[in-house]
Amino acid sequence: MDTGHSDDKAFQEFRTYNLAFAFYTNGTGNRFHYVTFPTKLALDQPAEIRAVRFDGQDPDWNAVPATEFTAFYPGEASWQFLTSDKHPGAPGIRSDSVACSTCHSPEGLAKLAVGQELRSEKEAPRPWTWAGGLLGVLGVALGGILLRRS
Amino acid sequence: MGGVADNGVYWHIIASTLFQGGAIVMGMAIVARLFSPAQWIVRGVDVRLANGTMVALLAVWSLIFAVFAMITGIWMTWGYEAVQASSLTVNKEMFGTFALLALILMLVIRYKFGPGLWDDMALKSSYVVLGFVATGVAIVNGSLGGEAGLLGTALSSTWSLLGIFPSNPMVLPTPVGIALLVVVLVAIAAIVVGWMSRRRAVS
Repeated sequence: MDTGHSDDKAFQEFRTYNLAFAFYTNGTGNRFHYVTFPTKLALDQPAEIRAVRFDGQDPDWNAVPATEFTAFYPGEASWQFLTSDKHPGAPGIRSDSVACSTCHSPEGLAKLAVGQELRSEKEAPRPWTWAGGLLGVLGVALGGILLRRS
Repeated sequence: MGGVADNGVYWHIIASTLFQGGAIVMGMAIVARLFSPAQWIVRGVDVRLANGTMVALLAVWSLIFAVFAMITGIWMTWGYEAVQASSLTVNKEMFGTFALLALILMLVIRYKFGPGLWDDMALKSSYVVLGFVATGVAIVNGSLGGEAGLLGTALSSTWSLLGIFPSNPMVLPTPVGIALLVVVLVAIAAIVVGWMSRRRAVS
């Protein structure tokens, strides 16, 4: 990653780096993008992504095993929420002893994120549904009892 | 809290699985009772599921474990926003309440009218519909539980087909809810009026 630009982060042999990827796809922009959980990249070291030395002009990509990650929509979660009692993993966050991936899968976190953003919608009152359901069940029983033959 | 309380989810899974298993078998027993011949004797043994006794026993079983499932579910989620704020949980609580009421009414009917209810079309219809409500709720709530635990559900493709996102509130739009309520109330009123006029005609 050393192209000579001042923003470059040059990777060095025998070191390990924490990486996470973000994808701006399907017309998404700003915060509406996809991310992955952090992973580790190492040069000639055991890691989830292990870079190895090759000889020649180009690497033989067919010989390189693919590493797959699940990207997901992360939504928004404030630090105050993550460290509050409303978040069951708050003690781990506060003591800096766990990562998001300790408790969550990418798919699960995506659902939580969407659910959190739809919260105001989710809390829609449902008195008619309650009344309809309860009276419907009562009506079925009452109908049977009143219309019985004897 | 510690120990048992930390494992609330397992108690809930045990209770709800026993509820669902009982309710589903109860639905199967109802179908078997409905389609079995009036006299179904094999080698001298009556195999009509003991005149519907199996249905009643499974209704008792389902009611007990539905109550346990509700208690452990609330216990497990108490303190988190899930109890009142998460629609998936409120969906479960709502459908679970319908199922509890249906099971209680089933047992009231069975207690009051005995096994003879199967010989009365009106009582039998009510009993069967209430039983299927409980069975249906058990299946739906099991699926919602899988979603709540972020474990996925065997009904995923069904929800997709129906365009339902279980995390969203399963709420009828207000006009539809009011219309349904009016239909139910009119139906109940018609039943009561029909019953009263029949009583008058008899006396």
